[in-house]
Amino acid sequence: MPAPGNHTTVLTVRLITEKPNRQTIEAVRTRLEEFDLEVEASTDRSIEVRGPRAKLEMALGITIADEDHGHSVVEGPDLKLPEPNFPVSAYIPRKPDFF
Amino acid sequence: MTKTTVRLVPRSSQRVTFSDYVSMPQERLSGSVAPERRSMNKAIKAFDDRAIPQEASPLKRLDVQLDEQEMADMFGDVAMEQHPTRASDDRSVSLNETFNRPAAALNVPEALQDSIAFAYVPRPVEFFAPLPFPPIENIYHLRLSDVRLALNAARCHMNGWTGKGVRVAMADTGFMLHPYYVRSGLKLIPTASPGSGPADIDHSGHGTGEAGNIFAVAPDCTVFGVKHGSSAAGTLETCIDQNPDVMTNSWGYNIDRMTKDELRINDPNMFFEVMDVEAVINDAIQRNIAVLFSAGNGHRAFPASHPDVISVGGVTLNEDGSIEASNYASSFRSLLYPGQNIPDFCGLVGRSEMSPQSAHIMLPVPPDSELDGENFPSGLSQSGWGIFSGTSAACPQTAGLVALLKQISKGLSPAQIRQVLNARSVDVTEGTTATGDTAAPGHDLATGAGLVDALRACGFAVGTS
Repeated sequence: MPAPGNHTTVLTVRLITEKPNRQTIEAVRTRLEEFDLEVEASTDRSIEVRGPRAKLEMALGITIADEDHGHSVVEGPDLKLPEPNFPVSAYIPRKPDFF
Repeated sequence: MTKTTVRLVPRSSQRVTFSDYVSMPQERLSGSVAPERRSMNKAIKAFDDRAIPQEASPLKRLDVQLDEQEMADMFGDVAMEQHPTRASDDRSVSLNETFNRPAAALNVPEALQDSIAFAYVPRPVEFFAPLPFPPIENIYHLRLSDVRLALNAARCHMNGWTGKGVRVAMADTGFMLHPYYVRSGLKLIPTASPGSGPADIDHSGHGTGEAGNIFAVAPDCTVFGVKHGSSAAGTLETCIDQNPDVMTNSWGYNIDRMTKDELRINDPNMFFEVMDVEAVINDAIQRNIAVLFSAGNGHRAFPASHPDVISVGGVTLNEDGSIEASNYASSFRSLLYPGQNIPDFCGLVGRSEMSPQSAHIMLPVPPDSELDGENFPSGLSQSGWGIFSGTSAACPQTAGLVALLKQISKGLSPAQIRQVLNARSVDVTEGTTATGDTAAPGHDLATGAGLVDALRACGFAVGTS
């Protein structure tokens, strides 16, 4: 569970395109690799990346905020990469409830 | 001649490892670095004099194997007694082992008392493998064999509809290969997803236990138990990677309380997670995979409300055989997907007054898991079983039924499966759900089309009902 304000906290972020788009996903992957971030999984419409919060923010140009109950969220989740210029959204996955 | 292992423990408490001193120059062993080595020298010499081989442990304990005469020479007259162990193998087969232990404490010889603190006979480790059979507990509950009967699956099995050749993926907390599954010959394959860690480790017990509901209805299907990882979407992608015919999910998010537009404004992070999960489910549906989700236990659960998902609520089977809508299970009209009513159908779930965990079904769990011994009046723990239920149980029961249908006709689409279940579920006319909807004759919000019935559904699918 991330500690509020701790920028060394390791988080998982999912990056998604609205429709399958291999070119965009590859561009995102290249960007993440430039920052030496670990890609855990990817498809042609998503990439799951895990890394230190500060590095994720820098690589993706996102702001990660802490919520009261210890969960972190991405603020302003629509990010634009320089090339190719397709929209990519980012979010921090939440643990589900088991019924 | 039977030999007994004796372990001698040196007086020093300094934890210098064996590898430390065996790699040291001999001259340093006389210094202050390895006092245990010096203290053990006497003991080593004592055994060397008797030509008794020894084995030193990394922490300077000395293990020796002694026959009766050697025991007497070293420790005096020691009465030995046979003691049973509860050891069992990894399939929970009792090994019925005994070991010899001294009736009293071993007396360290006077000559060694300055270096040896004490000596003892190590007892074989007992592996607390859970039993493949559920314990007897004095509380009304169903066993998995009862679930099979209650959902009318037993006669399906006699007809050869057992789920053979059908692949089911279940995403949950982990899946231990419990002796119940192994002994029963059930095909459960723990499968890791990104960030999940080992799939056969299940600290909760939820996944291990709820998987039993699939097999109660479809004993010959293959279940890929996919452990939840870093994200729900990634976990579902792993499920799809197993090329399943059916996906069953006893989890969700209690978020179906606003429209998508409102969610985007109020919780954009969650909104994008919903979009992502929705896209993965759409992908599964396009591959003709039947996707089932639990309706929730008083929750307003997404993805149960996704229009192409088969949502499963709860019906309680009372002791007198009557059925009623469970007051532990959810029913609701979706706001995320206007026009969608949840649930579509129901499986078996307990009632809220039974316990906080709606004690209804005896399920196999890892012995140290959170659900081990759940709702046991006896207080028995470490048995590897617990009594609990929720729509988490109802969903895999229904998934088992869908596996039977897929065996009969592999090409059945999710929409066709919904048609079959709509036509042949048992109407539930009494009871009120956790969210306040009351069952009535015909299709209703509380229970959808009612309690699923395997024989009626399979009969309809083959055209005999």
